[in-house]
Amino acid sequence: MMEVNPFDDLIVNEPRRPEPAVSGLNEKPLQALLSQFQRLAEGEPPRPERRLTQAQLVTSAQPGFGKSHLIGRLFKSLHERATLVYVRPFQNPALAFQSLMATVVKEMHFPDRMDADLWKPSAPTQLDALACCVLAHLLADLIEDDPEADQSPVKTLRTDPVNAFGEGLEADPWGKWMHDHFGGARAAFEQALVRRKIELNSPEWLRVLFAYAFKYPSHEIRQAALDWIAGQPLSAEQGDLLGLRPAELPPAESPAEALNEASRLRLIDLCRLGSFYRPFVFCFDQTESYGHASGLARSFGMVVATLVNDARNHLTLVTSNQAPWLERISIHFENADRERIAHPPLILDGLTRQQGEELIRLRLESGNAADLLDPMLADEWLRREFQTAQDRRGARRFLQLCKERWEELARRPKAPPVSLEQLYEERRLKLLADAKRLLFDADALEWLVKRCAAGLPGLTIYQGAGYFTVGWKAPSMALLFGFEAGSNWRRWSAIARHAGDRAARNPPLKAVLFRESNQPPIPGPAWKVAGEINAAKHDYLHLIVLSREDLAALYAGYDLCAEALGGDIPPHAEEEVLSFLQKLFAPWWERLTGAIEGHTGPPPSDSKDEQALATRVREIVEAGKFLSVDEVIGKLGTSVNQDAVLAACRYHTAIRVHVHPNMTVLQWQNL
Amino acid sequence: MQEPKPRSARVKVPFTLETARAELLAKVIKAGAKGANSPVTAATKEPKRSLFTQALETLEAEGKIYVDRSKTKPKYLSIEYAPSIEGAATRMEQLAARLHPALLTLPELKKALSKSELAMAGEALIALETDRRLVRLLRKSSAVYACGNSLRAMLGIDSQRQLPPVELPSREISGEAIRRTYGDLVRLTGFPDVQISTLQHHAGVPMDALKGWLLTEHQNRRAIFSTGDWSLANDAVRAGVIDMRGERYLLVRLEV
Repeated sequence: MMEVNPFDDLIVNEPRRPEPAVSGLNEKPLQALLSQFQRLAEGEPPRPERRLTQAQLVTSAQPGFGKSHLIGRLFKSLHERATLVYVRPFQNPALAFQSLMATVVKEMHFPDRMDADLWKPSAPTQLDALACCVLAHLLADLIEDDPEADQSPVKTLRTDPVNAFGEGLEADPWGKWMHDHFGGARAAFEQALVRRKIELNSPEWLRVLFAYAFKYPSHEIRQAALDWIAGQPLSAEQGDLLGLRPAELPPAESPAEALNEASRLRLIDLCRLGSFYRPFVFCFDQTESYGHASGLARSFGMVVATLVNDARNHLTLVTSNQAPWLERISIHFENADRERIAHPPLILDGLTRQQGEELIRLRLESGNAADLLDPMLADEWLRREFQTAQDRRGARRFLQLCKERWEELARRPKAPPVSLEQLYEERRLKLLADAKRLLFDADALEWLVKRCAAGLPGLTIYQGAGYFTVGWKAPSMALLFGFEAGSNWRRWSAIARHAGDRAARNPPLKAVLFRESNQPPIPGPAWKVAGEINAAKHDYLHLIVLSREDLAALYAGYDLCAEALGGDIPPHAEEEVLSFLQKLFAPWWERLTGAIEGHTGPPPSDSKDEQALATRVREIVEAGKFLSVDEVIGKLGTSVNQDAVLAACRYHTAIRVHVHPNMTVLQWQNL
Repeated sequence: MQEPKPRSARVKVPFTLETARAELLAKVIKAGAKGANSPVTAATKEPKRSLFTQALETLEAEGKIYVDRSKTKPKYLSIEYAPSIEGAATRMEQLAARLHPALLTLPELKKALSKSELAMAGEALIALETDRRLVRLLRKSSAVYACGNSLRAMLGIDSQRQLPPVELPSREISGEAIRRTYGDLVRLTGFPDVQISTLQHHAGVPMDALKGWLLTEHQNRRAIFSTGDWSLANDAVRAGVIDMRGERYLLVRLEV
């Protein structure tokens, strides 16, 4: 059994990873949130549309009181009862709704997975479930309205929509019925929706949901549906895949404001459709980042107010530390927007001595180190920290003290303060084991070239517009950065054209855009404009295709910075983290300002091989309970590296990753 | 026929970021309190568009201009016209003086403020009360405010005379008054953890006496301290720090 300090983990980076909770700690705010949610979720779907009149702020007097941990407990309590959306800060105030909808769509394109090792790429996603619920209830309405129809399927359609349609596959009788009849019965479905008084901004929803849920496994169709839901413009060909006419599609060259507005309307519609399925919970965490600029903070206030005012069937939760909230964030809100946040806020408390003792027990027991219980609970030591029964300690500060005491008791040399290198590496490795994060994230990439790069020698950064929202004036050349998530050929053709115009007017100049390796290639193989785009890629259009390892490396920096801003990694402040990252990312700055790379990116991953590796890793860790990654590699008996093993862990929430200076440990913790 | 211009006059001066910044600063200074519109319009072409946009951002970031976004179109103002707590306080005081002897509620006082100043109303009120520029009175249980100078003139008190601060000797510090002030602050902000400096400011007691009283309350289990955020605290807030067991506490929560 290896000796790992059970108090090493001081921060909740990912609220979906379960962590044992101390009884009574912050129970009041949790119950307040659950009771608000209950008002939305009462009764069986389809429910009447319900609206909470305010968003809920959860705050604490100082960092480390467990805001993200509370979100984790909320998510655990609401697992399978709500669509849980964890929202990291957006970077571009003009595209706030685009960013939010991208997050929502990414979340819904995954299955529910909290206590499960059931997740596999082919499992029905949350969006499949929503689509089946909407269509099943409408179909049940139609059957009920027809006195001559056989009423027997109604119950199944209403109680288990996903299975009632055989997961949307044609092999199932109802799945086949939908394939054969949806086109002809569409008008009846739409009328059924109207009879339920669900008024949507976009009448195309039913066709898009049908295409998404019933055309599995066509990746192109599902991707087109996701792009449409996120508010991205579609090409005529993509529209055709969804059964949408060209006239129903927004122009490919719509300005950013129009696309952001489209995303806002989709968000409102999606929440309304939640009455057929389950309510949404939007958690805006790490909000300290909005304190950087008044425009960002104001836009954040507007997003929250829009959710409260215009969207139904959701609970919106905002977390922040008290000082930045009062002095840097809410002060920039419009008054009307500020009033959309409940007053007073829910306040988090620190640990009392009794709760501190329980935390010690939980950590020692889950780390198989119960033999140290007595000395860790020594009265003399605890009394120094808690002078009175009312004294409270922030959970993180207390864990730090416990960590130091454990080292002392285990007769280990006092650990040096955790360096930024260690903190960064810990985040990078944990990200490799997180399926939901390693996707294209426009906000994280914009942060990289806007905030992280600010202050690099000789570099001037400015806010752009249109397709290129950030610009660099570097000593050797000018660069324009775009963050296009979609795969619409018209839009990419326009991007190439605009880049060409700018390059011709202000040489030397290139436009840099990012893709991730599992996104469709640009240009698509059948695009008529492929030649034109490939020519642009040769001269002035630099497409950087990011591998999973690249994404983990970049997003680890983004996360580290957000934590510094929230006061979560004391004593490291944001400036120090940025200065560290600027040095660490030196190869990235060279890559961005260097020559345009060749046309091939990393190959997309093979999900079957990954699944097989994930199953083996799961078996090994479950049997061993506590193993280093090297031990797991040894038992696998195949040539895989550490990153591949960690990537396999993303399928299993029961595997916790502990990163130590010289070793990474996997722990089986099936809660 | 017009004579050709001398060659030197036809040389095009490059439009740089510096030019854009200088033009903008001149424009906002000229516009004064009214503020200037954005120099970027639909007709502005590149590279002027980008350079003006960059100039606006850098000038705002450097604190050289203030951008009022409370209107449909943002207005750009010289920094001296940026909303400030003192500016908000002055406008509230002037309104109370103008309407004297009417007693005004906080929402009525807020009517003197611009949209961008509204968020500062609470801080401004604290400053006005501390300096006795506004006097708080009670109408039933609701607070109303009168202009301090006008009230003193009305009562025949010399308004030029420096009024002694309402500070209680340390031995006679009134726990009840502090708890009442604390309760008011909690109701105003919604946050139970109050800055010690704000509590002192509002309660009008000497800082050392307040700290001593708070430490006694802590020992008697009626006060809980929190560190708050040292990095965001200014000198005034840091003056309220209580050092205990190697921790710096800026906030306190009282049992009321």
